Amino acid sequence: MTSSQDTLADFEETAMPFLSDVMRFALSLTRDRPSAEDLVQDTFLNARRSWHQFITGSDCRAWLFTICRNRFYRVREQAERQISTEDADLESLAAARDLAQVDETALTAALERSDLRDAIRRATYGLPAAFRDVAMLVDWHDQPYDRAAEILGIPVGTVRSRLFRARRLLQEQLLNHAHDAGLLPAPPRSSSVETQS
Amino acid sequence: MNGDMMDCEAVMRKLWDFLDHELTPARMEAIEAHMHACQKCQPHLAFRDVFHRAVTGASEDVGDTTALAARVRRALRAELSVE
Repeated sequence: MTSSQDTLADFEETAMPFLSDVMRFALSLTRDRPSAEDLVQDTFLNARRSWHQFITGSDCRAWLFTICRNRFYRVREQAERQISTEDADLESLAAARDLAQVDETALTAALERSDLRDAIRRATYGLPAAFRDVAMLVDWHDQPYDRAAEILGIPVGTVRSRLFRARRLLQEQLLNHAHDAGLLPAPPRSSSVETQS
Repeated sequence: MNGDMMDCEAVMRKLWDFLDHELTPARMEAIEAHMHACQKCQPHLAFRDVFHRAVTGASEDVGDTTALAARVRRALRAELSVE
């Protein structure tokens, strides 16, 4: 075997077992199967080219996630930059909502009675990008906080606070969904004055 | 709660970390002990646990990736052959 074939064999043995995980991650980024498959191929080709940079014994799955995410956002760089600007405002908005109470009893009942997976996916995809990235990595791709921080290039404390806010926003949206879908009785109307135009 | 145990406010602040297994074993045990004894906090843990399981169970289904793996292996070999 030549040296490059040895390297390829080593790469495939270490990295290919994570292909399904990378596909799931790519799918959560693209939300479209053909695009996700292209992204997975692109990720593995780039990973093989950079294989000499991989530290033996480190977390290969997290390394592949980092490459996958970087490839995805490189393509969508301009669009994401616009979203990032909005995130600062939305983060402030979410911080203000942290103090609001969610009806835990009602949402527990809705979650226990109904399959809300589609609603949870829609709500997660609808989160501001900064919150969505953290929620997806931790909740869907089983990354511990420190790995998510490495992948996103942010401090662990930021992962923790964004995750807290992401979950709070998801709770609100799922509660609204449960009311709208008739899974829960309509909430009592506010007694505040309604203005007429 | 007595002085040896975490108080309710401290437990609430650490509840997501607890469910995500992001605490030291000693802190995990302290929260478990608190939850065992505190009826006020138990419903909050029950809610977050249900919510947590619902959210973590909502990840995309990737289906069979055999064909994709074969495609990626072909692409890796094709690229290597032209280097």
